[in-house]
Amino acid sequence: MKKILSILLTLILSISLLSGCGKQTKTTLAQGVEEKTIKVGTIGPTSGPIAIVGVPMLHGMQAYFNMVNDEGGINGRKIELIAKDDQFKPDLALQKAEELVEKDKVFAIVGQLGTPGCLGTLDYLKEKGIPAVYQGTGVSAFAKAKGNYFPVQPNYIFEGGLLVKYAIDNLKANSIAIIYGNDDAGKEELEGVKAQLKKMGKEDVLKAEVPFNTQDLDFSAHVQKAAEVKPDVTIVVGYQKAVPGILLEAKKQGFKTQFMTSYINADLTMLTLAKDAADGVIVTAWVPDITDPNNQAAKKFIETYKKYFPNETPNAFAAAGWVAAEVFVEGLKRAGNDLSWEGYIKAMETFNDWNDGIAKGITYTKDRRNGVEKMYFMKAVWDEKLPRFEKISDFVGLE
Amino acid sequence: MSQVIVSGIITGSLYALAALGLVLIFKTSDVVNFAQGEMAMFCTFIAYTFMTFIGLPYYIAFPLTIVCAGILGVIVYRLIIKPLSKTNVLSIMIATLGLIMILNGLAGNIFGFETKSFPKLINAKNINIFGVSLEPNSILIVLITLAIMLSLFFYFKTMEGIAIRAVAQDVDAAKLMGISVKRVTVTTWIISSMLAATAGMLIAPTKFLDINMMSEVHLKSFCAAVLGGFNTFIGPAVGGVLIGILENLVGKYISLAWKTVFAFVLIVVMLVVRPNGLCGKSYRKKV
Repeated sequence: MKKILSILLTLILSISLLSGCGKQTKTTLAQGVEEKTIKVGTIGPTSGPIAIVGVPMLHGMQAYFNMVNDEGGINGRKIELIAKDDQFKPDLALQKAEELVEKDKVFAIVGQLGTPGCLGTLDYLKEKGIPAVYQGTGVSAFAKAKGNYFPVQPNYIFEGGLLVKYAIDNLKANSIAIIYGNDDAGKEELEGVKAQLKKMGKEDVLKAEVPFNTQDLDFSAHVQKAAEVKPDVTIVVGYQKAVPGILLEAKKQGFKTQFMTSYINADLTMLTLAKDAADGVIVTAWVPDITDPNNQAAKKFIETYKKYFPNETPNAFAAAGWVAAEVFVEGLKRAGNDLSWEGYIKAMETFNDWNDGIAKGITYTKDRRNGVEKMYFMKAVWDEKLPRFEKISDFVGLE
Repeated sequence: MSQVIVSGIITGSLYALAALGLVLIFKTSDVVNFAQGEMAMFCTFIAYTFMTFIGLPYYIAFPLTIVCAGILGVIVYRLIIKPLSKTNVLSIMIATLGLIMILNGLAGNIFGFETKSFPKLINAKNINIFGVSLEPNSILIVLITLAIMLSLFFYFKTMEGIAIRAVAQDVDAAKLMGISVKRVTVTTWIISSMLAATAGMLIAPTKFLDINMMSEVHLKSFCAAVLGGFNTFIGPAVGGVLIGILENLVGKYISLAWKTVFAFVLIVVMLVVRPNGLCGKSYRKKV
C-alpha cells in the first residue's frame, strides 16, 4: 500500500513538474487568466483580533470588483476574488499564499493585509514573481523589494519624517516627544522621525521617546513620562485602540500639548472613542477625505459600498480595500491583453502621478515603489453631533 | 508617583472584577473557565445592542443584560458543561477553550468587527485630590469590585454557599446530604455569567468595545487570580491591584517596553515562593 502510494505521489509530482514546464513556454496569458475571468487572490485576517480591519478591507475590495463585474468586467473578463484568512499570523499567511499561487492559480495577490503576513510571504511571492499590488502595511520592506511589488500605502519611515517636518516647519515646535508602539510600525516611525531631524540638523528637539506595548491598558506612566519634558508637540503612533486610550489619559492628567498621529488613526473611530480628548489632534492622511461631498471618487465609493454591503458603514479600512482594487484594475486596463506577469508589471510601471482614484499621486518606475508620496494634514474636531476632520494643509511631500 | 499608583489600583480592580467569575467557577467545580472573558465581551455587545438599536437607557439596559447573561450561563451549562459532567475536569476546561472561539466568531459576525465606544456608569468631571486626577467612574468601579467581592465572600457563608462548597468537594456525598447538585452547578454558572457581564460593561468604557476587548484583561485576570490565590475571593482583588501598580511603577522607573514582562517574572517568582497565592490557603483534603 505504502509503495503504491509513494509511486502515485512521485507520478503526481512529476506530472505537475511537467505541466509547470509547459506553462513557462506557453505564450502571453499568465495563470489565473481565462477568456471570461481573471482570478485574483487576497490574504488578510477575517477572523480573530484584526478582523476589525480585515473584514471591511475585504468588503471594500469586493465592492469595487462587483462594480467592475456588473459593468461587464475588464476587456470582457470578470474578476473573481479568492480571499484567504490568515488570522494575522505570518505562518498561516505563507501557507495561504502558496495555496493561492499553486492550487487556485491566481493571477495576482491584491490588498494583502497585515505587517506580519505581508513580511512572512515577501520572500515566497518575490521568488514566484507574481504581481503583488497594495500591501496593507506601512513598513518599508515592500518599497525596497521592487520587482513584482507595488505598495500603495505610504510607509512609516516616510510618514515619521513628514510628521516631524510639519511639527517643526509649520507648528514651530521646539520640543517634541514621541509615544510609539513597540513594534515594527512604531519603530519605523521613530526611525523616520530621527532621520528627518538629523537631515534638518535638529536632533536635540526630540526630548522623549516613550514606547508602549500593544497589550497595554493603562497609559498613566507613558503620559507622565512624555509630560515631564513639556513638549510643544507630542507624536503618538500606534494601533487604533491605543491612541484614544493615550489621549484620554492625557486629558485626565491635564497634559497640554499639540498631539499628532499617523494616518492609521485618520478615521472617525478615534474621535468616537476618545471624544473631546481627541479634539485638535493633527493627523496625516493620504486618502482624500471620504466624507467630503465634493470628492467625486469618494462619493462613488460610499454609494457602491452601501449598495453591496448595506448593513456596514464604509470606513477608512473599506476605502483602503477599494483603493487596492482600484490600483490593480487600473493596471489591468493598462496591460490590455498582455496579461502575462511581465506584461502586467510593465503596465504598472507606466503609472505616473496617477490621480484618477481615491488615492492620489501614485508613481511607479523600475526603482520607485513608494506608492503614495504625498500626504496632507487634518485636524480632528470634536463635535457631539458631527465629529469630523478638517483639512489644514495641501498635499505635501518631504522634498 | 501617586498618579501612577492610583491608576494602577483602578486598572487592577478591572483585572480583579474579571477574575471574580473565574474564581467562583473554580471554587465550586475545579474548572477554570477560559471563556469567561469572551462571555463578558458577548454580554457587553448585548448591552450595546439594547442601547443603540433598541434605544434603551443605560439603567434599563444594564439589568436587562444581566438577565441575558444569566440565560447565557444556563445555555453554556446545558450545552457544554452538563453533557461533559461525566468526564473529567480537563475535558470541560478544553471545552471552555473551544467556547472562546465560538463566542468570538459569533460576536464578530452578529455585532460586527468595528470598535465601539461604550458609555460610562457615571459621567462626571474629573476630581483632583492632592494632585492626583481621578475619574468618578473609576472610583465607582473600585467600589463595585469591592462590593461584589464581599458579597461573594459572605454568600459562601450561607447555607446555599456551603452547599456549593460541598458539591465542589464531593459530588456523591453532597447528593447523599440531599443537595441538588444540578441546581447548585447551574446556579454557579448563572452567577459567574452575570459577573462576566458586569465586568464587561464596566471594562468596556476604558478598553472600548470590540471582539477583542477582553483578551488582555482576561489574561491579566488569570494572573491576578493566580497571584492572589485562586481559591479565595479576596485574592484576585489583591493580586489585580498589585499587578496594576507594579506594571505602572516598573514602566515609570525602569522600562516601559519591559513593564509587562517584568510584572510577570515577579509573579513567577512569587508562585515559587507561595504556590497558593498571597491570600490562598493551602488545600488539604480530609480523609
